[in-house]
Amino acid sequence: MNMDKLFGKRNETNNEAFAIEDLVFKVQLALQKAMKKRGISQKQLARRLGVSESWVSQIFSDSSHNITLATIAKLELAIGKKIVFDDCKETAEVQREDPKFYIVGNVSIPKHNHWIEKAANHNEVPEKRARKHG
Amino acid sequence: MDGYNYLGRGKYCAIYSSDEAFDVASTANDGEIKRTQNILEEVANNGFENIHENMFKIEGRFPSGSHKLKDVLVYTTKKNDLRIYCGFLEINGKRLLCVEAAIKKQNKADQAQLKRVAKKLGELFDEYG
Repeated sequence: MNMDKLFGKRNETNNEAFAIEDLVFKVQLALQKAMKKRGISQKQLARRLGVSESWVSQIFSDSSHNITLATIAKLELAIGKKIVFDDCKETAEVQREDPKFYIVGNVSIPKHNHWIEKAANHNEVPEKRARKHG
Repeated sequence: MDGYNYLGRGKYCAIYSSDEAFDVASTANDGEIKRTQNILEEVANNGFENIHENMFKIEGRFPSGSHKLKDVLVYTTKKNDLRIYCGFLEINGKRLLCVEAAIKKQNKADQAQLKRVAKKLGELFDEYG
């Protein structure tokens, strides 16, 4: 659906504000969906995290722009569910080789062009090296 | 519907805005506008089950003044100072009608405005429902 008629199109002046709002909303919605799926209330989540209920409520407020990745990770652990931000048309995945955790974000890289994170000392050709030292 | 603009339709409902709400909302800042758009799009596509009440809140049930519809639930979208007061009506399918908007400094809802919105929803239902 297109609400540009009321809300205006994205342009150079509002691009940044729109991008921030899009991401914040996506994260908040994904967290809320995960809580619903696991049947966890705001109160229960607060108890699991050892924080106040108003702190949890603040995460879903309109002023929670500075929610950190560390906070998202803590929430994910407390909810016990992988948080996937997947409601965008163009998606990219940053995926570990052991995909226990991944984020799908709004980046214009084709979905199947996975960027696999590897450690700096990752052995690209173990067989070759094995032969050399063998 | 006279005085209402069709904004879009999702799986859950269609969204309409009054000229009045349109005029007020268009004076809000970019962040407020985008957030409100996201909220309305989510409601249109999936309903409000997954939306936290900090974003889309049921303000309460108010008399509509309609013979066909006794009371109506009034909802508010919230982003900083921008509020859009709306309600669902069944008029050729489910519609979310954004009746009024306000740029508010206080968090507390204006009860007179909520009652007025419910009355306007009742009038719309009498005319088109």
